[in-house]
Amino acid sequence: MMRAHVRDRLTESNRRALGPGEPHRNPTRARVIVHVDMDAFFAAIEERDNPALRGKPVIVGGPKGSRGVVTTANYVARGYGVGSGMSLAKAERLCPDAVHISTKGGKYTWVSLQIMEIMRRFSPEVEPYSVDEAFLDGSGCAHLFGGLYHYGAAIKRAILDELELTASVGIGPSRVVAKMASGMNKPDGLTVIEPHRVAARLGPLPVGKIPGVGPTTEQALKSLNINMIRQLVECPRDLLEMKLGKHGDDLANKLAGAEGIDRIGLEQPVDDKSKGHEHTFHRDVTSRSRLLQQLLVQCEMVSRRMRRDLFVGRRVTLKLRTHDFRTRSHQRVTRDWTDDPVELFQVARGLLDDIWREEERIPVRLVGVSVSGLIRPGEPAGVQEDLFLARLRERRALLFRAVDDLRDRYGENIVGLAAGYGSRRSSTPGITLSA
Amino acid sequence: MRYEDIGDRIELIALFRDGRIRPLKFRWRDRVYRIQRVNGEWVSDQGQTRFYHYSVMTTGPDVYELTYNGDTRAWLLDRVCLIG
Repeated sequence: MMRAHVRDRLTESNRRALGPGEPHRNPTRARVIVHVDMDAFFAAIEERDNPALRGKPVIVGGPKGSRGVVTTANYVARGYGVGSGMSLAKAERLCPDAVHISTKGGKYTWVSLQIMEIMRRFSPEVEPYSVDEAFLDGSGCAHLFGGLYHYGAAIKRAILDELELTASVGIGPSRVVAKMASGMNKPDGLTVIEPHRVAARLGPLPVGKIPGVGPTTEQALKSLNINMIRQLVECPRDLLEMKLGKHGDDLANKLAGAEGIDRIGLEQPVDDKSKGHEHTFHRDVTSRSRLLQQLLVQCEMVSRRMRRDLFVGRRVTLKLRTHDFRTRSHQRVTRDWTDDPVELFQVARGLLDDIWREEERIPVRLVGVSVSGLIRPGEPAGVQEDLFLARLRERRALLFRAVDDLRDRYGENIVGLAAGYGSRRSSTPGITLSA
Repeated sequence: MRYEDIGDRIELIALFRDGRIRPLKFRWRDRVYRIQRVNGEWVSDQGQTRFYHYSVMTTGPDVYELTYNGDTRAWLLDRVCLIG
């Protein structure tokens, strides 16, 4: 199945990644974390399924002239400046000849599941990170393949042979290092950073390259005159914590990764600061009931992701973009930690009423809901749970676990809260719940 | 290049082997198309019905999207991408 040109590219990429000398043998059997990141995933699937698209700029998101944003652009389109998250209108201006393809979520999810299956053959510990990314703990497996490089190459080859898709693979002693490594040689790259080379490889990079360090943290670090990862490594931890609070401690963990000391387990995501979902309406909306309907569906989606990744959170943020592209956001901290969609919706509804009034008839273009301040259920939260609500929560948790099982088996639209019916994408009649 | 939604029922000969389905040739509007290449395949669910989707090419450059309905056991030609 594998085409010669793709095989050649893989071989060339592997040669580039390996360079002269020995394959990385991992003689000390240090922790081996592999990050697999599919290259322009949705666009690559569309190119695979329609070879005529190869070499053309491809934008996955929606048909030409439609609202919404670019989900993925292939590398040809990226050459024109098109990027994920950009509005489709802007993408069309930048690259008028691009082929626009509507997002086919079910198709990409299916291929993603195939990729995860392949990865489970390489390690018993695979953690899907998103639809097109996953971490593997290869600590006990890499030596079976003849070393780190051969391990990474074997994963890439299996994905290419079986699915005709390329992935960029990064290998390092921690999740952060592995993730940074996978981004160093895209597309179709393979980068191995051994523990003793972490400081040398990552030290000269800007701190903004660390996964989870966004513009705000980057700015805070710059105020301490910290621009490079090396400077971050050398900065006293107490100063970091003083400036960045709890996030300083998280950064310290990332630092530990950058120093090659693995304090970040596969089970502990490093940059999951929030879970959220945004939706752009096909037509601007001025009806409160329509907005609430959409908000409920989004709260269900966010809640499902939180349950899947075993998080609860307290800070709910509502984002609203009006027809004139003005964006407002508002947030509220709930009393208890929760992943319950109904509780999230109740907060989101209150936030909507704070920042938008139906009688003003300001058309809304986009709504987004996110939950931040995430912790694992059972972690010390510093808040006494409401005991009267606890039993109700337990019952609802059982209900939503059953809902998750149904959705895993029959698709996302098979069951949902009744008030959100009509906002779901599929017209397939499903089961509705009232909670 | 342009996509055309079709949605026609078709007759199709397929090989069922090792739990997989490989479409071999199909008849559409009185013409038989021999499948030369399966570009990709995926599965979707609607309710309890499972659909098996195939993106295939015949002797020409056009790309055909075929769907097998696991419930009714019928094949559909969903859409065609016409090249050129």
